[in-house]
Parts: sequence; C-alpha cells; structure tokens
Amino acid sequence: MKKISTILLLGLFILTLSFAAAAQDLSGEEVLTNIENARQAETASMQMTMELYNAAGDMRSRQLNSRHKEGEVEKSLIEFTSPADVAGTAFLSLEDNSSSEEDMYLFLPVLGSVRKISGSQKNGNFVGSDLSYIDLTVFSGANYKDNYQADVLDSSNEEYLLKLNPTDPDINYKYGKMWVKTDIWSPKKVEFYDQSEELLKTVQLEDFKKIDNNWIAQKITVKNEQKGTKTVMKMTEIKFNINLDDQLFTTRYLER
Amino acid sequence: MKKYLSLIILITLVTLCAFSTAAAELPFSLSGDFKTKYIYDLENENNLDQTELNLEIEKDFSYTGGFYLNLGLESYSEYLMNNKNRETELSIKEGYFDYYTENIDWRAGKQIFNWGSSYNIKPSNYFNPIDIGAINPLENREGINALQAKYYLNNVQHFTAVVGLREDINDFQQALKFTKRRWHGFDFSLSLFRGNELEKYNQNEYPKVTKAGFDITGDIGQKNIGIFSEVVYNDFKSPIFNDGLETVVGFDYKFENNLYLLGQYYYQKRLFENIDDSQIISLHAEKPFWQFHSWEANLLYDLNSELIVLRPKIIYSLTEAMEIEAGAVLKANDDQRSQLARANEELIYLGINSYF
Repeated sequence: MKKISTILLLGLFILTLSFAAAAQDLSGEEVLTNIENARQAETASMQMTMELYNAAGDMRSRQLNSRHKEGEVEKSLIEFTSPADVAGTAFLSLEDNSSSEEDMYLFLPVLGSVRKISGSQKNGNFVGSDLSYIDLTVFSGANYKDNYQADVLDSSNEEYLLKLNPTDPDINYKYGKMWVKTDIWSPKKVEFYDQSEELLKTVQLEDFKKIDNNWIAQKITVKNEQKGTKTVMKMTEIKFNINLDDQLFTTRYLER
Repeated sequence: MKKYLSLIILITLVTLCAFSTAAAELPFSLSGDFKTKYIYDLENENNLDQTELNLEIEKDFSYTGGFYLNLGLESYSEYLMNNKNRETELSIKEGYFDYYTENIDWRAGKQIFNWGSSYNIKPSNYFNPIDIGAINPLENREGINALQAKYYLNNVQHFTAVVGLREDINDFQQALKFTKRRWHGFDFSLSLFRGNELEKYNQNEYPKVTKAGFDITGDIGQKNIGIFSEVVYNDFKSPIFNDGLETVVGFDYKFENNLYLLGQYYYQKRLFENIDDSQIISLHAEKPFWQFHSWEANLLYDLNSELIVLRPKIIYSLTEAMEIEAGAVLKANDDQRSQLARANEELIYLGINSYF
C-alpha cells in the first residue's frame, strides 16, 4: 500500500512539474500571439483624452476619437475634438496588407481640404505627445508581432518578461523590454531603449477591462525618461466589433 | 462710432453665445478665433495694428449635407498719404451650403478652393486671389462665389466641376478636375480651367486664360520622402501675353527629432518679352520646442533678382487654445520691380491668438 501511495504521489508530482514547465515554456512569439489573441476585434471605436505634460509639469489636453477597422486594407481614422485650435483636425490611414503600401491623409479645418501626407510624418512624436505614431498604433491595436520579434528573458506563473527587437525599420528604438500579465495576456509595462541602449521611454498600462471579449488598458502612461515629459492616455467609450461603415475611412468623408 | 457699432454688436453676440447655458443647446456648432497683432512697418517706420474676430457657424446633417459660415470682423490701421486711418470691415469669408447625394457632393456659396499640392505658391490654385492685406498673403486667400460638384466614381476617383464668379471681375470662372488617389502610393489630378488670371497686368487687366494642369504627390524611397509637383500650361487669349508653363517641384520630410523640412522650386515662363522667366526657391522649416511651442521659418529666394524674403515666426502656447505669435518679414536685395518684393513688406509683429 505504501509503495502504491509513493508511486501515485511521485506521479502526481511529475505531472505537476510537467504542467508547470509547459506553462512557462512559451516562446516570445507565442507570448506575442497570446497578446494578439486577447484582442481579436475586427473594429474598434474609442474616445480618448491625451494629457501632455512638459518637464515643468504644465499640462495640455487633447480629446480625440479613434476608429479602426481590420481587413485587406487596414483603416484608421483619428479626429481631434478639442481644444479649439486643433478641433476638426483628422488623420486617415489606409494600409494595404497585401502590398504594405500605406496612404496617409490629413484634414486641416483651416485649409478645408484633404492633403496626402508623406510617410515620414510618422517619424517623431504624435501631435506633441511622447508617443510615436507607431507606438500609438501598436498600443491601441496590440499588434506587437507586426513590428517586433520577442525573446523570453524571464517567466513565472504570473508574468513573462520579454526582450523586444524591432523588425519594422521605421522603429527607432534599439530594443524594448515588456512585462506581460499571463492572466489576461496583456503588457503591463514596457521600457524602450534608444540606439545608445539608454532607457528612453517607460510605458505603464493600467485599469484593465474586458470589453466585448477584448482586454484593454484604459489608461496608458508614457514617460520620456530622458526629457522628463509625460503623456497620459485615458480611453473612454470603448467599443469593439461594432459596425463601422467603410465610407467613414475615405477622403470624401474627411472633406465633409 | 458707426465703425465700432458692428464690432460691439458682434462681440456682445459672441459673449452671450459663449457664456449662455443655452449655448450648449444651439442647433449648430459655434467656434472661431480672436487674433490681435501689433505691427511695426520697418520700411515706412510706422506703427500698425490688426485685430480680427472670426466666427464659424456650422451645421452638419450627417450624410445629407450641411452649412458653413465664416464671418470675419476686422479692424486695422493703415497709412494713406502719411495719415493714419482705421478701417473696420465685416465680411463673409466663406459661406456655403452642402448637399450630398449617393455619388455627388454639391457645394454652393462663397468658398475657398485649396487645389494644388505645393506650398503657398500653387499654379493649380485657379480661383482664389491672395489676400494682399494679410501679413502672409500667400497663406491667405479670398473666397469666391461658386457652385462646386464632386462626382465620385468610387472611393479613389472623382471628378470636380466648378463654376465661379469673382467679385472683382464680372466674368465666370470654370474648371473641371479629375482626381485619382492611391495609385501606387501617389495621388494625382488633371485639371482644365477657363477664366481670368488672379493678378492684374497691363492697364489693370485680369487677362483671360485657359489652363491645363497636372498635379502629383506621394512618397519615394525607404525613408518615405514626400515629393510633389504641379505643372500648368497657360494659354492666354490675348497675344500680348506669352503662353507657357508654370511649374513647381518639391519635397518634404519629417525627422525623428520632429524637425519638418520642405523645399520647392517654382518656374513660370515670362509673360512678356522684356522680363525674365520667374524662378523662386522656397524653403520651409518648423519644429516644436519645450513640448508645447513651435518655431517656423520660411525663405523665398528669387533666382533672377536675387531678392531674399525671410519669414521667421515663433508660436508660444500660453494656455489651452491661447498663444503668443511673434514674427518678422525681412528682405535682402530688395527690388520693387519684383512682384515678390511688393507682396512682402518688411515688418516685425507681436500678437495674441485665442481659439474658442
């Protein structure tokens, strides 16, 4: 009897170890895939407040609406609603996944017309914030796999620590580090390092909520550790998988 | 007193609208800006000022149509025969109705067309004269009464037809344009115009002209450098004027440090035999600093007269939607025979802009 109990206990122990090993055995790519799968929305609509803080702590606020639609052509529309000096400004991005060609359009109320803008407009910061344009699309769409390759640095039952290596030539970071929560498969913190391998930005993702089966951080804080500036994005009125008319993502709509 | 009456009425109206609780329930949106500038004319050593209140009233009926009205109240000082006068003008800068059908967007009323992908100097801008009274005339255009129809073949191709009537000329201006977007990463358009030149020539004449234009904009290279070009052929009715090409070629690029650079070359075949072809190089740079503020600089270089016009500007954000603007217009190798020189008087200015 004693022998059987011992064997059973041993077997259980080995089984537990193997399960534990399996849970900690994911590759970096598999973790990024899990992150992507945790957000499977075909469409997304968000209202956002963007608070910009300079090094002295002064703040400027921007309110914007963001709409996104997946498909053969990935479509994004960002419209500023306040303050008054930027209200009405809109960006439209149309990325053809088959050719990787991206067309970007800007509508400025003062011009009253739509202007095609060059891809270099994605360089630098997005409307004075601490995010680059690519940061914004990656964080809001959770499509890290499109832009990064990941290696696992550390893991536990609660989280993974990944090293992110940029695969998109438009990304100017040398590398990043990402802490991923395994319960909801979402990043909770990301650090980006510049070409001199100095810490450049820290991104904190907080206030997680599951909306329409998609996990999203409702608050994202981006700190530029070298300049002392900060951007806080607060997402409100988030909707996934709603019906977004293709006509919304056209220059015709922008000009109206 | 009469001059100030309309100003007082308008300010009272705006104040009531802005602070009234009923403002939140207006059946249209109300916005605008208030700009005031102190100007020192370096050429004539005069002190001038400009104050402008723009009210924008807009109503959008979603997919059916809407209306838009931009009222401008301007008060400015000017010198006439060494006497300083004050003028106050109330005007409709733009005012039009929109009506949308399944394939056609209609617009009727006073409007500004922003044709052409170039920077400020735009050969394809057939309809709207520059506002010579503005500090930067090339950035400010005057509206014309017109009927515009845009017929959409699909989301990337459309025809635009315009029939307009300029206030300074009792003659119709007409144009037809075809636009194709997202063609191998480029947008291009072909246009045809019949009407009058925007500028006066011999004996105060706006010459009759037919123009055929081509415009293209897109990116090139791995770095996504923006390129743009406009080519217009001018066919004048009067044999006094030389027919010929007017063209712009340019590039733009935004760096990782947020510096934005633009450069373009403008050429126009001489209108008369006794003058040179026009050749102007434009350079524009702008960059944010200290997070909320920005500077920009514009340089125009006339290759024939060697005139240089430099326009530096700083915009300093005070609070949300309120900023200080300081700038200057400086010239080197000034030549008053040059149209560019006459459109750019040397001055420095300081102003406050407020948006609501």
